[in-house]
Amino acid sequence: MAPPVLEVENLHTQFHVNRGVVKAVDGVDLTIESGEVVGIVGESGSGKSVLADSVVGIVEEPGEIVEGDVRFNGESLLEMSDAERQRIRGGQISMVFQDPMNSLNPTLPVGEQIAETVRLHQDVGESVSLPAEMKRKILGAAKNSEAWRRAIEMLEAVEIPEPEARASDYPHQFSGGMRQRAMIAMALSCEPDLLVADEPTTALDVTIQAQILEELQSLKDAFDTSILIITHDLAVVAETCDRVNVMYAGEVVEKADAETLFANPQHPYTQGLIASTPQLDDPDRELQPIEGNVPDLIDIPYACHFAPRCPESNRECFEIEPAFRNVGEPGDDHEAACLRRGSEEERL
Amino acid sequence: MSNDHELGRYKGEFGAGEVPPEYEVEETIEEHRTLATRVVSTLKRDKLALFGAVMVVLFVLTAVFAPFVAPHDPDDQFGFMKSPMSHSSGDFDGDGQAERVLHVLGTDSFGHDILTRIIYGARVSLLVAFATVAFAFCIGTTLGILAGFYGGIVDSIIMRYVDFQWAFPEIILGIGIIAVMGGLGVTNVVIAIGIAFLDDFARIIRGEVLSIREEEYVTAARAVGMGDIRIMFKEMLPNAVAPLIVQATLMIPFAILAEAGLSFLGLGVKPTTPTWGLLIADGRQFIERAWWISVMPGLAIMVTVLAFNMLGDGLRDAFDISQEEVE
Amino acid sequence: MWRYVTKRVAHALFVMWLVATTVFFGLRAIPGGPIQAMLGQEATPEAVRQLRGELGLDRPLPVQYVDWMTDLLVLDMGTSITSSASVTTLIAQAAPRTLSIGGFGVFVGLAIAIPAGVIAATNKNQLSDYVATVVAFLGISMPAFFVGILLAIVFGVWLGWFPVIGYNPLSEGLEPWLRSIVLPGIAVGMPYAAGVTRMMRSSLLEVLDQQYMRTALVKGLGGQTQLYKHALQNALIPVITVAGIQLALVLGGTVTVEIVFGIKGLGRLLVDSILDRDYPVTQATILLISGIFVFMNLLVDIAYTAIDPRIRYGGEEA
Repeated sequence: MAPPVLEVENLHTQFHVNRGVVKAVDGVDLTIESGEVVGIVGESGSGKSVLADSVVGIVEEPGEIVEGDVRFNGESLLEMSDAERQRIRGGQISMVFQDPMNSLNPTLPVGEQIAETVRLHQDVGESVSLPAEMKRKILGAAKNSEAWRRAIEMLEAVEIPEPEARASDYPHQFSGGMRQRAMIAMALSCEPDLLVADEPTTALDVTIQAQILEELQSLKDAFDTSILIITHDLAVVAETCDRVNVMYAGEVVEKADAETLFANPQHPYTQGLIASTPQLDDPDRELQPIEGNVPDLIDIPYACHFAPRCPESNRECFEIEPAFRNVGEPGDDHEAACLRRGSEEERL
Repeated sequence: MSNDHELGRYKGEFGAGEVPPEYEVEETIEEHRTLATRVVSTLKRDKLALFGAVMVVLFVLTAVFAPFVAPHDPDDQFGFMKSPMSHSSGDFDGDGQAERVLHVLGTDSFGHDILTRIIYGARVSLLVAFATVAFAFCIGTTLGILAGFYGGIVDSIIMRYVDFQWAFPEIILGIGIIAVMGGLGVTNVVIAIGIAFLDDFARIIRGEVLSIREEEYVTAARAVGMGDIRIMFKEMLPNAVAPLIVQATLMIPFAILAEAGLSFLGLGVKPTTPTWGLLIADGRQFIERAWWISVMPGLAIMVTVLAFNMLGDGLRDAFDISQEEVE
Repeated sequence: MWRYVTKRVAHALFVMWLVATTVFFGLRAIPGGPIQAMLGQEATPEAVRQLRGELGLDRPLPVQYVDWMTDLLVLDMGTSITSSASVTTLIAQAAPRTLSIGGFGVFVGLAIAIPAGVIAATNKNQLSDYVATVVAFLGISMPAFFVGILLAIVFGVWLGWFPVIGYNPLSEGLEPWLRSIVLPGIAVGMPYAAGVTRMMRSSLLEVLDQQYMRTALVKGLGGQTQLYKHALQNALIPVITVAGIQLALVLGGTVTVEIVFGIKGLGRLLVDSILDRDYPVTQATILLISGIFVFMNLLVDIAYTAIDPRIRYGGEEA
């Protein structure tokens, strides 16, 4: 059996700031098999973005991965040299960000930015360096290159109308939705094995959101790419994901198939999350907000990070680290990290 | 949802929001800090700003207490063109006995002690600079408030002029105005440079007014029947004061430089009062024989301007204003 | 884009007209009247009347104005009172000197400032950054003429590498010309460079923080490519603004530096004419200086279109 596309093992990512150490990712395990769409759901402050950054290897100063491993197709990313990681980035693991407005360079044509990725990772015999680019511009060869053709192909794949004309346009001439599509085109241009999408639809209008998500689905099939989606929006998760990991305050608290998670949420946090989300098909249900605030990630003194806000917490919850146990129906591959859930014997 | 573990069905020892006593955490609330506190804490943190502030205070004190600080009188004559740290010997106070006088910064072609002249020069330079900035502040602020408050045609006209002036080289404008006013002298200089500096203040205050205009306390004031002028000066101005202070502090060095430039050209204050610009001009023809005559006042300008700039930069940080707002 | 350029040109012409009008009225606003001022002691009624007639100041105002404007268009700016030479000639002699110094200063200034700013930003908080920042700070604290004096003393008097007085026209040889403009040029260029360096540094730092730089990182681009291809072009946009605004400083500085180095450029012409009350020359010089200035700004505006595609192509939402 081929190794999973992505394997995250006991990952700890921390930031050293004046006040102390922020444990943004505090021991996370994650697996993505080939062809899967896996979602990470959490509120702001849950550490989900830092997790995404850690996987791609772009955690910013003063953050660093202090423990654990990230394996891509079986190979450890953390043990590679910077140069090797750089080669993989963009070509085999690519990323799409939340804010399409600012994620594209305003002074380069969109087609050029996509073509750049192609030139970088695929063997088309064209260099990305500035002198080479200027030469291309001067000789008028930019539009004739293989990479450019590929860029137009990609724009077509993400359903941007008139791709040949559009490729020469600048980002400010695209609408928000189109910009995000262009980002996706750029990310998928080298047919990566893994696409990490950090809040890909958050900044877009609701109608566009649906389109983009559909787009991702069909592209996933067409390019045979696994996707890791980071989001706070349960609807996005419900729509696109095969498997879901719920994150709270640096830890994953529940893992399940998307269907199972929504049908039978187990962890008190997940239950709270779903209970506090308005549902169109049940408009009269009372919304139950979760009491309290997301904790400050510097040195959380209690074992289960959710304990202070949990209505079911006992003293043990503050003192004993909850391990993952099977919950819900047997054979469902559904786990939650809660001392108050799981089989009778395990439950406290 | 079919599950046998609905949230909250099983109550724990500690409900939502409740925590065992030993885990209680104090919530820290950010205090509101007044303008003065922020300035003080910035000065404590930012060494450069502190240095600037200290130097500025020193300059102002030196200028104010010049007669007491200066070793001699600016018109006293000693040995001609003595180099720095040298002495002149002779009977200078008419008592029949020869003295040795130390010239820390040397003397000029008339035998005046340069250190003394620089100290007295500080008076004029700083005075002119402050007066200029004050002039520009008053008029510029008034224009800006009027433009921002009334908007429409008033705004257009005022801002057109301000835009036009903003881009223009200040020295040229100053020279032009002096040409028109037909004479030298402190008043003319103050007015000339003051007019040239209007634009900065006008823009800033207009920007502030535009954003404050829609705030509730303004609407409230209007509702109570406050007259326009009162609103402008009692409600809006105090709230917009911070960037104005920063701008004023940053304009003083420019004013010093502008005045020095004008004086150097001979278009500034009258030749009898020793301003730094004039001192530099005096020494120009002697740079081959006595370089210190020009260089010393120039260094004085440099240090003063530097000090004000450091202070202004620090204040800008204290009041948290972006680089683009204040030029 | 052409629409933008046309607008800017029209604006420039408008400003020039405004300046010309202001100068026209400014002259006639001199307290006591320009004639009195010019003649000073010798202001006998006949002398006044005669000069008035010569200068055409006895005609109705609108006539004068039209005359003034038409004269300007054919570049006839009258005759100098003090030297009886045609003002146009005087200016034609003086202008190249000023332009040489200013041009050299801007060139040297930019050549130093942009790399310095980039280095400072990429080595933030390290030694090279501190050095650059401090030097820049110093640069804006010293008036151009003082820098000129310092340079003159060190490189002219003590080291004797460059002449301290005078200007050698280009027509007499490239090398002498260069040697005579190096010191004044640097004097004028230094404060200019200081301002541009600061802006380059802060602009680049801001750009490096932008989201699209993260995108470049995630695409797998190397540091150098990221920097030059992606960051620089964006970072230069506000720098152009500052470079343009600071040109005003250069013009002002040139005027004073000319006096330091005894160069008979526009600055000297202006100052002398004011002190001599030679108003035709004053008028013309102010006009020319304004003209140069407006033109430079126009160039800067046009430079924008080359660098910022958002200006070249107006935004359109699909």
